[in-house]
Amino acid sequence: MNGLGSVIRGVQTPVLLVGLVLVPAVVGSLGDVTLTRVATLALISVVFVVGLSVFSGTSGVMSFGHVAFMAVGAYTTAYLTIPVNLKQALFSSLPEPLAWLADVQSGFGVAVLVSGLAAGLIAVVTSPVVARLSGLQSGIATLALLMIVNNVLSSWTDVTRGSSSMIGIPQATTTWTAFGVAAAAIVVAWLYRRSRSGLQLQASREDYWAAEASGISVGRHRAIAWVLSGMLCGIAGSLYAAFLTSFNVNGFFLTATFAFLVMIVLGGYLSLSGAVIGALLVSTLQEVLRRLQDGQFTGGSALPAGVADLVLAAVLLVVLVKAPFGIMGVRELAVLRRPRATGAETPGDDDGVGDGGDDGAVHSARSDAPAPVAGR
Amino acid sequence: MVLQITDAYVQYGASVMAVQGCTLHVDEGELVSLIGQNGAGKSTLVKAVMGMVPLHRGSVTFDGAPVTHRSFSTVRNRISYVPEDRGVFASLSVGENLRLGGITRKDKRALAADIERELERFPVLAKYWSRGASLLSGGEQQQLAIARGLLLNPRLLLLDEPTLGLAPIIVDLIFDVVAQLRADGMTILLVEQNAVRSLEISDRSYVLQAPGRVLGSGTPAELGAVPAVVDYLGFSPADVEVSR
Amino acid sequence: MILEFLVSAIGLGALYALLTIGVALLFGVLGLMNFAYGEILMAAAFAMYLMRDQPWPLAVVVAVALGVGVAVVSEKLAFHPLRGADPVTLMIASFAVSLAIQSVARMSFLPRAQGVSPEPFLSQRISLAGAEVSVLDLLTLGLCGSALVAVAFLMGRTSLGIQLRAAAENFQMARNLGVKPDLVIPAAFVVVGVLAAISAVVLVARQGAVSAEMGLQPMLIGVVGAVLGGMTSLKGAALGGFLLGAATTLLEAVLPTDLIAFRDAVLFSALIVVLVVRPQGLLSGAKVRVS
Repeated sequence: MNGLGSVIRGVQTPVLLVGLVLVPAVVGSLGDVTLTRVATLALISVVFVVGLSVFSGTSGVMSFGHVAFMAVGAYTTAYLTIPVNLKQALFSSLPEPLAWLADVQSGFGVAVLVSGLAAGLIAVVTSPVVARLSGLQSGIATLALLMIVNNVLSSWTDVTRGSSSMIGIPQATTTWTAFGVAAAAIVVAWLYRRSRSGLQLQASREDYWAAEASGISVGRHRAIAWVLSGMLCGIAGSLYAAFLTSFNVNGFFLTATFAFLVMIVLGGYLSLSGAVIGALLVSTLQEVLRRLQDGQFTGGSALPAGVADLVLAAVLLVVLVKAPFGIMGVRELAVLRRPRATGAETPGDDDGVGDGGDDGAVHSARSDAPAPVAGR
Repeated sequence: MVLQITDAYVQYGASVMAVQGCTLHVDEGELVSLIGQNGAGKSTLVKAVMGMVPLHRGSVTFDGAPVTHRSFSTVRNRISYVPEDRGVFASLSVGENLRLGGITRKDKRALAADIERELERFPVLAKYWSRGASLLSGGEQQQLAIARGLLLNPRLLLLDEPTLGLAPIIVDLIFDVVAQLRADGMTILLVEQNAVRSLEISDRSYVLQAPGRVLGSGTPAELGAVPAVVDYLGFSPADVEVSR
Repeated sequence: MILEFLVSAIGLGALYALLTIGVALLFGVLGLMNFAYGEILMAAAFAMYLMRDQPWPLAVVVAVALGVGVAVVSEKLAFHPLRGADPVTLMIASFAVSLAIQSVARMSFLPRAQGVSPEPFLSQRISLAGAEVSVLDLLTLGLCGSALVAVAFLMGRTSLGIQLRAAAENFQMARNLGVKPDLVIPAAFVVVGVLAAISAVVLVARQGAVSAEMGLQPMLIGVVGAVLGGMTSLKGAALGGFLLGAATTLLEAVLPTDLIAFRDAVLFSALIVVLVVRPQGLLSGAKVRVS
């Protein structure tokens, strides 16, 4: 029975999370057009926030710039999937070295992968920065990255259409596609968190210097997390583009960043389950607020636009003040908790630690901080 | 009793209980030294006295009133704390740093007189009055930190490793100043690694070993009678020539 | 020609220095990288729109009042409960505050950008030492320069200023000496409110419009200037902002238009480089605040 118990504990979190995202998938495929749209966007948000969590959750360093990866993914997919003749009309003045882009065409599947790789490339280029910075400096640097990407995308009009919308992307993302990618993202994120690199990075969360002192090269592991998370967010962008069939550069800027921030903070930025739960909760909340604003619940009278943003801002502030580690804290979704060791005197070591597998080199890393090895 | 620490347990950072069960007291007018090596928990204990870190267990009482992490106001209770890193404001001038020392005092004229007094005690401060504090040497900064602390006319002066890393001449100066302050009636808690000099000028001393355990306490003669203390220090306090 | 350029450059430099001090002051005292700084500015700018038919000095007074008001309210509601939180949490909170204020503005007063026609006297040009200098540039220089002098006086000569500077450098030690957090923190916000208001007055005069989103650019300028100049020292930060403004004027005069569009990308790349290579900023000598 013990063997079965530990197998369940090993995989319960990703299984539970995939089950959780199955809900919007089913709702989306059964509901009306609006519901399908909301559900699919929610699933795409899950992909993004899971991607963000791969970096921020494991390293403990918050990134304000991940939407930049999403943008890169979206633009890449646009370039790869917009039909050639439309492309040539849209991008009539491509600079010489990039003229070949107008003739490129690929299927959706390839586009998604290449988008992920393109975002990953940007992540690789920028990884030395995140490897070295922590805390607020990293926050500012990632914000700067968002600014740079936004500026380039808005100003390089010949290639990106600047502030005009990108249009003509063939719709290829279905609810079930989004579900599949979300499920895959969850599994990938889970495996990464339990990988050697992921565990070592989590060990550095509590005490950077203790980790370094015990031989963990935090910078390198951060860079790995950064690149992986960049790719996932790029894929999210690709799905997004192929779902909405058009997008604007301003959709990948501060408003989007804020919404994703609320998702990951509400759910709990240190936990993978938190990322998923936060994404789903906030997506639902956003839809409710939208309907409220349109007057659906108040008997027809519409609320001023901006109420939704106000509510989200208030939610974020309340969470930051009352529960900065979000709903999940550092815990993961689990049904089978580890049997409590008796007499163990670790203050604050509640049933949050070491559940569902040992990405619990985490929370009370007090005595364990530098222990990089999986399992205790 | 000005300061009473009873069975204090204090945590350092996230994981280490740096002080485990320390009891000591300081009476009015005494110069009491806390002697011990690096990592003995001396500084952590002092921070708990200041209310800068919370007590895990035990109590700290100042002038009869308990000190807690949240409610302590150093000025209301008139403790001057001169930290290990001196806490001198580099972006302010010497004069501005001194002004800060008296920022809570209402009696401006008396404050001005007190500043004059400190400038006499530490002539180098008068010399560098308008210079940026970052340009001072370590010893000069230490003098500034002490002078600034004295401007509060404190009930208790807490000096955390005031001679660490300083040249011998300055070390002498500092110890002379501390001894003089004691002679003038100030209550002082001196945290030091320099055991010999501290024993020379103090009324009583506590010898601390990690984690914050009191190996022995009392006058140099009393300390010399404790073998563990003699072992730990590497010499017998009883041999120290007390200069008072 | 040179005089014209100098007035323009120094004026913009002074404006950017004001913006930068506003950012650096809150960062120093609180550890707060205030996203909502732009919204404080926007509120003051809105006052200029509201009072556009009133005498200009009166409008300025209302602008200052509104700027200070929004700053102080944001402190009470959002930042006071978070006192002692780590800088990233504070930054995220300020993000929320920024969006909240923008939403309120968009919902009520500023659903669209509103034009504020510049006072007639601003579009004139004066002959000065043989050159033709625009009144607008002179106003920028005059207002911002005076504000900078006032800040310097506050910081250098008043008791409050010394406490603010000390708290900005080492908050815990300042507390140990008796500096009251409940005095310096609101005071810092008030100062920031005033600075933001003056910047807003100048910006409205220059841009002739008010919109709910107008605070973003100034806030970013303040952040860039502060990081480049050095956030641990107000003087360094101000200098950084000043040089940024002067350099911007120079670049705009010199660079071809299609390159100017990428100014932000260049600036933020420089910011990243400085963060990695010299986090205490290019102009400050002090140690960097550990975040």
